Amino acid sequence: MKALLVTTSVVFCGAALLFAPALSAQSSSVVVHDAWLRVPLPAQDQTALYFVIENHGSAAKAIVSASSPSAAKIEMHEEKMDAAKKMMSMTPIARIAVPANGMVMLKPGGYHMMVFGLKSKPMAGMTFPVSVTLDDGTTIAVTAMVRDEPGDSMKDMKK
Amino acid sequence: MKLHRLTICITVLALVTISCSRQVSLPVLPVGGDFTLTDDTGHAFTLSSLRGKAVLVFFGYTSCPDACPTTLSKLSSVYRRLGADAKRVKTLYITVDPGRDTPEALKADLANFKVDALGLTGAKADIDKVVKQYGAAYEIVPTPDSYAKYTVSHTTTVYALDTSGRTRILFDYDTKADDIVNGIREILASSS
Repeated sequence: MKALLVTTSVVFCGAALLFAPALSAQSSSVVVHDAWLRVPLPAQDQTALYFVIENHGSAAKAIVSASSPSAAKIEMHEEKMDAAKKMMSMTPIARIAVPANGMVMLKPGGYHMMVFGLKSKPMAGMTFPVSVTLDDGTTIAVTAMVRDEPGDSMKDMKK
Repeated sequence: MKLHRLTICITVLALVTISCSRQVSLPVLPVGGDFTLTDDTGHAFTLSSLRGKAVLVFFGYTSCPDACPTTLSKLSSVYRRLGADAKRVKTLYITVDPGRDTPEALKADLANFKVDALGLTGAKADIDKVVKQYGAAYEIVPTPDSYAKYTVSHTTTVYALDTSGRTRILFDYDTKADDIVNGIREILASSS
């Protein structure tokens, strides 16, 4: 099982199923975990995806792209507060650096993946398959949990 | 000399009493004021129709992937924590992207949050007027290589208005739900 876990995964559908309980996936030295997809708003066919990526290796890595069979396009974006203008801006970026022996959190208010052209409506509790490609050519299969931000949506209130 | 000391004591006591009073603690801020836009059912809406309620105003757009849903999620939390007082608070979500945000889209998306919110749109010139009035700002940023074609940078301040429509508190993006709850309670207490 351990050998399985460290295997670089390219067949993300199968891997997604296999790793679903842990909601994580691994490249040789890079681990993605705690992936979640924000439930899209009713009138939108887009949403944001977040995860934590850890680099346990001694070489710096970077995310250069991502894709999903369930969406037309996934882009990397950075949300930044311009302190002077007090404006929140969203900028598409080409890569997200993951330092050697370091980690990066994709989270609300910072780096995130924008998922555009959703082919169906992901609902809370479902999973969403994503393939993350690094600059060394490896691909990491990620299974994101579909959910709202903790505790505050209409659906959570009804529970 | 003794009398002098007594006077000082009374003065200090009076000042302490005044500063503890909730009635005088919130200044009226020099931004905001009445406006008319279009509500999420397509009808004209005027801020003054909400007299008697505390009002939270903020600017956003529905395809905003992160900041706006984060604020709305936080406001859901605020409403839940307000309990019975939630009935005395209305939220106005003013779009700065009227090209994409139809009244229907605003209504559908806001229904996803447990917030008593009304989505407002209008002609760009009318929205710009309100943006200026509240000291807010936004910028349409073309992103030709992106699927979205453009994004909208915007201020994320939540304006808290008292029951007479006067702006009393500005909540920054990072303000915690509990601090917003306390601010609203202070506004409601000084209005009753």
